[in-house]
Amino acid sequence: MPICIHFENDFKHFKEIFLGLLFLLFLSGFYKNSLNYYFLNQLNLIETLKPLLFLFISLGVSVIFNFFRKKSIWQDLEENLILSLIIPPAFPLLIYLFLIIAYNFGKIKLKNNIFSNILFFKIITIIISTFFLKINYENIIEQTNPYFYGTLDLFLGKNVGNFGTTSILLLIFIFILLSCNFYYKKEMPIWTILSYSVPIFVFSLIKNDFLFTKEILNSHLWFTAIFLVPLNKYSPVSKKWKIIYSVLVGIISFLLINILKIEDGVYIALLFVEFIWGVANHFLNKGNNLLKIY
Amino acid sequence: MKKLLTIAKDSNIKVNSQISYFLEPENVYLPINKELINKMQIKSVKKGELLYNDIYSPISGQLKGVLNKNNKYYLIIHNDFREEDLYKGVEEFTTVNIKTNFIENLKKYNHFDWDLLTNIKTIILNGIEDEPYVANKTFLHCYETSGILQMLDLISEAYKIPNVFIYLKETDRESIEAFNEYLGTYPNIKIKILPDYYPIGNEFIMQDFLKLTPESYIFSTEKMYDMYVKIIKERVKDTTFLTITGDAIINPQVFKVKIGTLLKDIVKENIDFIDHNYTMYVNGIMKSEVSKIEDIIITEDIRAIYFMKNKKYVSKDCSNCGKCNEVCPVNCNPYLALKTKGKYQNEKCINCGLCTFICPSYIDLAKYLNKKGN
Repeated sequence: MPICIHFENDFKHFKEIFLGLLFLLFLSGFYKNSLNYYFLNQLNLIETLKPLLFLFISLGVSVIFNFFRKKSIWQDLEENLILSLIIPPAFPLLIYLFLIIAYNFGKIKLKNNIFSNILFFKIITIIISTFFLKINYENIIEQTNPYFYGTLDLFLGKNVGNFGTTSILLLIFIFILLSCNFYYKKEMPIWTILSYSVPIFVFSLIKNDFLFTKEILNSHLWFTAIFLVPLNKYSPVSKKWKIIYSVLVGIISFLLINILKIEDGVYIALLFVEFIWGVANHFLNKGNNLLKIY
Repeated sequence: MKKLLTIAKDSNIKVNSQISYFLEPENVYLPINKELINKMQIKSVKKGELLYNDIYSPISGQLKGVLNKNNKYYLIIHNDFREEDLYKGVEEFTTVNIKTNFIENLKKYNHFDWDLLTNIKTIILNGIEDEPYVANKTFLHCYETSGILQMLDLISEAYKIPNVFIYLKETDRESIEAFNEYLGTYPNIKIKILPDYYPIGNEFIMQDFLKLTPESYIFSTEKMYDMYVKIIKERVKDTTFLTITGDAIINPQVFKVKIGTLLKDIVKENIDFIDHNYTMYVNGIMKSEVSKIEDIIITEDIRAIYFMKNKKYVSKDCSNCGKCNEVCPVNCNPYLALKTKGKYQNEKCINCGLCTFICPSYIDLAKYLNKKGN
């Protein structure tokens, strides 16, 4: 039957809002990592404008690929915008360009991958940064100058982290806006952040080390919880499983920050949960088994 | 109970505030079994005359023959426009007459199991349309208020039912006003207002929403009016209300039409199109089937016709948002039906169409969930 009326809060609007909010994050990253230093005369104009190239590469490659695939040039633009936000600020542009091209190629081949493409990209950048480039999440100025960021700095975004995801205040604002949209799985970020924060709080109480509570303001966790965990394609749909999935991501992230670097734990945790989820779904669905966990 | 949705009204799909009539069709077409065809003789019939198995003639005229439409057979009666009524001269019952042996009179109405009312403490009269943009009940309430209330009152009195409520939608101002005008005469009947949620007019959803006990019974206002006509007026129901609306027509309206009329005839004389590139839906846009004008003969089951401009909603891959499951008022898991390509079916499905309505990928989920859609 042809559909003749449809819910007025269309998914298209959700994508538009999503894109706008991501752009806001990019601007905050641009200010924090370069514009701010330009105003303090610590960076010249060319170095200041360099982060814009991350954005142009992401969007440009996406548009070119869509053009050659004969799809709408705006398709998956938000995905490519996220990529420019989650790289370390000091990541070399040329390698980034290569990765973006590889990402857009790989996306065609790995359409039904059980991992989300963005997460896969992030894991690749972590491997390259850690083992080959030996860089962390510091920007050029932080690499050469001593710094100390307090709790308020962490909250406002003056923080070491991905290029555009350091401001928790902005992330909270974005989460509130996204939550107003009917199609956003708003309970998932809440459960992820709670299941990560509560053990940290309990742990600091037991160890009487309240400096540890600062780890709650881990911008990587907040960004992942708000943007990557609720990604529709890879997350569950029923209320019960959404909670289980989110709690698993939160708890495993908490466990991994004690083992791995605090910045990377959450991505590995999500990768692990997505893998378990994908495999469980795959096997439970075999032979038309209706016991699918969704 | 799940949270129900309010469906935002499209200002292009509304009906005229005045009722229109289509009571003099040239021919009427009444469904007939193939076996009965040979037994029918060409003769004159009067309005209200029993033709066969509970089928009465809605007009006076001449039996003309049989029409075969998609392997369904219809008896054609040619209208002589004399409206010769079988009941002309038969005195109508007064309330005093009706009250004596009322329960015995009720039992003559064999479309309802009257024993169901023996242990009932609350009667609910459902005055809410099941489908959006249909206004049949509103017009019925406005034109037949006294009959509906009289019947309701007599039933509650006969079965000694203490609580009688009429449930209406908050946006249906006309119905609220119509009933309020008469309620002084029936102090035992009370009006209750419900929010404009979809599909609150569905009997099962209403039962759930109001958390009704087994001591309550829901009647629709149409059923009550049908009883009134057949039991109190002792007449045959020969007309029905029909909403014709949609964004492809200029003049959406509610008609009172003779049962058995061809839709084609009504549309030809009364409806002007904005856009001839339309799809016709029968009985509602949320759950109905698509049909052609030529195929529709008006029966009591046909309540609404929608002429909707063809929209270009392109179905995409499922985005796994899970909203279909979230909005389903009876929890019947359309997501699983989609993922198993219809192997999973749920008999609880009321075919409300909310899953399809909400789906951001424009997937017709009802098709997978409901065998009717396949």
